[in-house]
Amino acid sequence: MLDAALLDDLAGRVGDRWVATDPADTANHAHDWWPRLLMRRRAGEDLPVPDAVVSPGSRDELVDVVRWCDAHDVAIVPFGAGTGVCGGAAPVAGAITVDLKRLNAIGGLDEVSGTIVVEPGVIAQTLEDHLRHRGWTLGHFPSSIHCSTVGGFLAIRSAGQASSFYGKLEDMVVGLDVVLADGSLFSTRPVPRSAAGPDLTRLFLGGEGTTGLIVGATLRIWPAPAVAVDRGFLVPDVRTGLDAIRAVLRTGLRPTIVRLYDETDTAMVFGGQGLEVPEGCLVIIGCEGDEDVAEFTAGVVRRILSEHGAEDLGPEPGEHWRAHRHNMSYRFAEYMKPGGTFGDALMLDTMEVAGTWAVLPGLYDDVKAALAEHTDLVLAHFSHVYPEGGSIYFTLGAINEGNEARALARYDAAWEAGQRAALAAGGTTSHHHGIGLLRAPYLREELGEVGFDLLRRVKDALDPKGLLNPGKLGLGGRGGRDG
Amino acid sequence: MADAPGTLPMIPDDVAAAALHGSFCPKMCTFACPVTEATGRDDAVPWSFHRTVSDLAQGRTTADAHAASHLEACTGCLACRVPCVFDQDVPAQVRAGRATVRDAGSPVAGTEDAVAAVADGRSPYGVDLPAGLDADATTGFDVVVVAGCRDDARDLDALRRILASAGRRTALVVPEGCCGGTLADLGAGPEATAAAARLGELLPPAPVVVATDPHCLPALRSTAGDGTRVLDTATALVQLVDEDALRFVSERTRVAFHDPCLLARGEDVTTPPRRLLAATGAVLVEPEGHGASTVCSGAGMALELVAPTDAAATADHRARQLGATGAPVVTACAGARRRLADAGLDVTDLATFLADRLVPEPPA
Repeated sequence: MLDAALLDDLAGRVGDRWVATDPADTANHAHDWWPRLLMRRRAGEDLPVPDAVVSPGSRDELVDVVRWCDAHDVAIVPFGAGTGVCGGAAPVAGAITVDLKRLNAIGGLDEVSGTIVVEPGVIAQTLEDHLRHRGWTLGHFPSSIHCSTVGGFLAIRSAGQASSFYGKLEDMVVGLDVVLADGSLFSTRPVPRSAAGPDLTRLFLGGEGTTGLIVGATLRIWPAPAVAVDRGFLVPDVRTGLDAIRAVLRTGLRPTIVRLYDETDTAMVFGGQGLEVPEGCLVIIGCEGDEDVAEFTAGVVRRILSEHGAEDLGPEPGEHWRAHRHNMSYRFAEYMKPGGTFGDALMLDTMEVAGTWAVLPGLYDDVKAALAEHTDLVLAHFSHVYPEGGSIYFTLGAINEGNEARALARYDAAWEAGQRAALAAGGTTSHHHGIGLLRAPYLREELGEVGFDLLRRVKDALDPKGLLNPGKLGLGGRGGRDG
Repeated sequence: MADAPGTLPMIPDDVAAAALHGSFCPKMCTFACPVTEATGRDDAVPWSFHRTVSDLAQGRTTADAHAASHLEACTGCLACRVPCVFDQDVPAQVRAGRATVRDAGSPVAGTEDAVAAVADGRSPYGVDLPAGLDADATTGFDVVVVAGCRDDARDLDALRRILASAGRRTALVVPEGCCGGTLADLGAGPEATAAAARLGELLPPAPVVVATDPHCLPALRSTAGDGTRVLDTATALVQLVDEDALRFVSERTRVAFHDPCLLARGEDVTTPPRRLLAATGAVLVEPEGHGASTVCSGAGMALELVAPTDAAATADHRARQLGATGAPVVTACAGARRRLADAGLDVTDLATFLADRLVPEPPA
């Protein structure tokens, strides 16, 4: 436990009301949205709470807090909205959790350059609403856009549903401000690109707060699209769908939305709407922009899909998807709560992996088979495509008839099997959810011994006392619970 | 009522079930909450209310001052309800939670002062209630105007002038402190019921009752007799425009309309005030967040009594959005008008705006 006199000193820096120490006041920060922690809470376990939650109200206050932690050897767990799914914001004994939601200013909109300055606590949908009111878009639409912060997205290198056109979050970063472990402030020059040495922003994007605390960013924005042309297709199987999507990308055109559902997921999509379930796999392509650009891209997509034997289902499947694209996240509680749709102790999670086009079919087969060994249902869709490959988003579920211990055991077994299979098939263990605690056991194999040692040396250089988000990424640190 | 060990009796089963459900939702409506946006308080996120109320219902947390402090930062604006596919009623859960902690001896801040004020016939907000505007007659009214506990005399007089110009006989009723809505928001259920009953005794018979403050609509609906239509100001007045009973001097004035939350989301009333403004020739400038997406001024759920600093921050946030229009602001909620005026905004009540533009009566 942290010393009370120390915490009084801290309260003097940010104000009493912004330092919470009573367990009743820190319970909200006992978990993020890692399903394993939710399952433990559902089982009736009182999850460990942070020793203290501190909510600085300005960048200067945050710098002061970090310097104070450095001076007193107190570790820091950064916390945005607490909706990460890998335990990256889970509390650590002896550490303070630093809630960044008060740092939520939306700053200068540079309409000449197409950039905007934001603080890390801005909720992504709030930023998007702000931009849309002014005729712009960030183009970042993860399913958690309603509940997650920009800082969280930067920390894990998030990807949104329209990433095939707008890019991933790291592609949108023009400038970055970071508080380092000793409290010094590092800011990159906000320029479109620079060859002035290594790109230092990459030390922090995806660092999950282990290398520094992101306190601001200058982000690339786009004019809001005039139209969206969405369409659905039906292809005979996954491999045909992948071939067709790859052919579209090789034209040089970039649809905004590209999604291919495997047979099981296709059945869920159609069945969930009370529609007849067709044979084959659903493809949804969305094209955005000025009307002529969107229509032209959509025309090329239709031609190529047709050449691959796809049945054109018209605009309805795509429009339905767009209208309901956040529903699965909203419905999460319906399944996961005690006494949910599938009874008590449901195990439910998602696992996103990625690989090149060459390995993608095998990656799909192997990971799906590995997950199926330990679950009752595995759905998969392909999205976030690149000229050289794409990601696979698995949804895994298991009914456990009230047996929470069995649910946890199956959860752990499924993740172990799925992650090992992804690595063995030549893929990456995470496309856009990050590492946190969940994937820490696999990061060494992912990066290789030399790579992981390099990461550790970077960590040691930036955070020699091990005070920043200890335990996450499997990097240890003061008070950390390794992996 | 839930009957699990440790369960407190103030949280109905259906509210407890909804809160439990919400406590497993991944905080999806975070973006919608104006208090979260304005203050950065983690316990303003609607999910936090779900968790707190659910834990209270299950006896997993104590109904003490800590729990009470986590039931503060809601303004009851229903913004979180719009995106929710389960139609979660967060304010109802907060009310139940506040009732629970009050019953356990730890009311949310401001509750007992408000209860005492109403018991003395004063506004729970400490605002001087208007007086001396009552009608001469006691029966035969077309419309009864019921003042809210944050209304001021000027706006009420404006509404009565408009109704009079349309040939409507009106009575003004000023509740003895509160219609009960604010007390219910604070978790003071018995006192709220009593206040509503007292108001019911004051209401003279009339086919239409107009609530000048949208926060009073639920209480009035439960109080007014069968056959009485309870309307908000804009809905009542736009009907008179449709009947060609109101005439305004046309003036092309730029105005921004701040949609009161309970009108726009609770009552689905967004068009009538715009039609009224258009009838005066006003040119509407829509602010960021309007219609059903309006952003709260912090006037609901007695937030200004429970957490004044957070209420002020919420008002400041909304005032910045409205101020960015560069136009004077009109609204149709006394609470919102006060909050926004306190935040430095040039804001006028809809009735006063309209009354100032009535075609003058010809000299007798």
